[in-house]
Amino acid sequence: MKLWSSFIKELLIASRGFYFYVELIAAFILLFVLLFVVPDNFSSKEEEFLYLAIPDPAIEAAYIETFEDLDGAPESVVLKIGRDEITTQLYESKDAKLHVVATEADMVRLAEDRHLYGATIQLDPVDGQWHYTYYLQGNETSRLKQLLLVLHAQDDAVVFPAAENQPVETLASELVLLSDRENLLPVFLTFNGALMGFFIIAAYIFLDKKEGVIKAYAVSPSPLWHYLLSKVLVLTLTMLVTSLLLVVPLMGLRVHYPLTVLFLVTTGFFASGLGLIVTGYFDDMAQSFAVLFLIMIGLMLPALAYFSPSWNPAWLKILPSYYMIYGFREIFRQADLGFVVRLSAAYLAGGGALFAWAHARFKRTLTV
Amino acid sequence: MITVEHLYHSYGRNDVYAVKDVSFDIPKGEVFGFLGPSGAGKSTTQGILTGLLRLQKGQVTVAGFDVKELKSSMFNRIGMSFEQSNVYSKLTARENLQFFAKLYDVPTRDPDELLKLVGLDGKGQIRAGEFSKGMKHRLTFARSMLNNPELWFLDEPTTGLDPAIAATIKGIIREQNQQGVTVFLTTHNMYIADELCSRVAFIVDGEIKLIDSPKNLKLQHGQSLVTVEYGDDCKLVSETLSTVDAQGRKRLQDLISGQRIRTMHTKEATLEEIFIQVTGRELV
Repeated sequence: MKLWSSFIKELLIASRGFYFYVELIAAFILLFVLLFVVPDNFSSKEEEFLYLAIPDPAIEAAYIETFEDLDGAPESVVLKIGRDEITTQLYESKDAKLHVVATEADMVRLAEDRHLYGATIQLDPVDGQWHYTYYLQGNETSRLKQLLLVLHAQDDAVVFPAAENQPVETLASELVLLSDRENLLPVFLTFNGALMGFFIIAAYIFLDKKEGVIKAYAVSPSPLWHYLLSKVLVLTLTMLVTSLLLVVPLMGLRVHYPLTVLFLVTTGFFASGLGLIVTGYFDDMAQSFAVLFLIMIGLMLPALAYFSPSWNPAWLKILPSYYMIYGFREIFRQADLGFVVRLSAAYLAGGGALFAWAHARFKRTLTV
Repeated sequence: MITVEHLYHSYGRNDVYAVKDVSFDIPKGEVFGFLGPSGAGKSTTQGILTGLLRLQKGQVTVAGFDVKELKSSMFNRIGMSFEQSNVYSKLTARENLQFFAKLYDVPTRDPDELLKLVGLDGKGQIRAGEFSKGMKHRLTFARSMLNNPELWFLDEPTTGLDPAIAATIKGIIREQNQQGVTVFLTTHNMYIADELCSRVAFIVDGEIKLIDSPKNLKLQHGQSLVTVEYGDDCKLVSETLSTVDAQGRKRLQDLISGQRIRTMHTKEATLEEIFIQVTGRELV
């Protein structure tokens, strides 16, 4: 009953405060971005510029015929560099967009301006050999550069069949494939939950510290942990509402909602516990700013690995937000739901430990 | 109602004590004034008695509870009014009292009745954040009465209040005391202590220098003096005379018989003067 009263009071205070609406507005902005700014699937077509230095028009025409344009009819496109206009012939296949440019100079200018790859393919009129020159951006990996060298080390008739005959084994064929837009959702939910929950509970507690109401609570018959837990519950509830505000319109009924709610609640509990710890060691937002900032940056790092899977160092896996992101993805892909339950249990246990630590700290640092 | 024996407290948990070997007893129904300058150890002692600070060394019993092993039921029997008002600014005055009332396991007073008592009648619907400093202080004071406490801790209860409101607050304290409430009053205001307290303790540098009733202190430390103003050649002259020594009494008789006296006041020592005399320190 006392805990319920504290919870209702905290809810009332939150609804009359600034941060509650910050959370709601942030959720609406994220929803707007996901629905109207982010395409369902990003274009993955590579765009390249090509100059053909082939002296014989007949050979050039034959060479161009090998381009697999989707509709079989190249498009004449005008590209602008500053005030200059360059006309290219655009061949669009299912994997790439290839601009054939009239001069090598224009090809280089376009590659530099658009930060894309350019290439010159030259047929030596003397020895009849093909020569390939690539214009890279300078940030390519050595693996790509070696691949380009290998590509021309053998005859096409050897290289391409060998590439196509590479055995590819699908490890999990029953996975639900997420669209690019849906694939963003785990990161957004993690930030909406972990980061906002962590930051906003700190803001709430610092406000109470400033008003001194914790002391008033401490000389009442209600235990201090009620006070802390009521804050956590309010944060978890608002986080749950704002997160579902994103999940429902985007995923509809294609998601396991009980598991989603379980994971949202346990991760929210964990993040709130982390926020409580910080507030136990500082008196106000200004004092704790550096620590809050560092923790927030730390919690954001796993998103880089999520979007760039090739960068996934082992140390990143000790960050709690790492498993939050992948936990949400597993729920949406309806993959390893047992993994999500185990993760939820871990976040609940971790959150409980952080809560107990924060409670002990608050009891020890209450002062007159 | 309160027993304190050899109480020590160090914030740095070293040999630098904010409170040193403090001992006193407060029987039920007494208004006990804990007086001292800022940093003397008043708030530290009160913090330990109310459970805000952990007891490090010594023995403390409050309302029959050993504060070493605090029980939440103790807080049903005590009330605490803080020097710095601490109310939820986003809740109305009534909501503040209603919320705290729900935290007690004992019958509580009607929030509107308490608001009326402290002069906040009709202000219940206003958020505390919109209150003046004095109004917040009164709300904090009202909150401390919610559970009809048997033991009432008051920290500077009239600070920042205008004289009329301060008089109302003092009236409430007297009334509660007449109903049997024990009051532990922490203040550096000797006038309010003189008006309200049955006994006072002077604390300086964490040590209690003296405990006695204001009346006894005045008798022990005051002097029997009379300040007389009289007319002398169209001028008003002021003179302070002893009523104990023969020369002073003779001079006073002369002035009275000469019918020249305009005003005459007995002059007893104030608590503040006695404090300075006993401790060698001012109440700053």
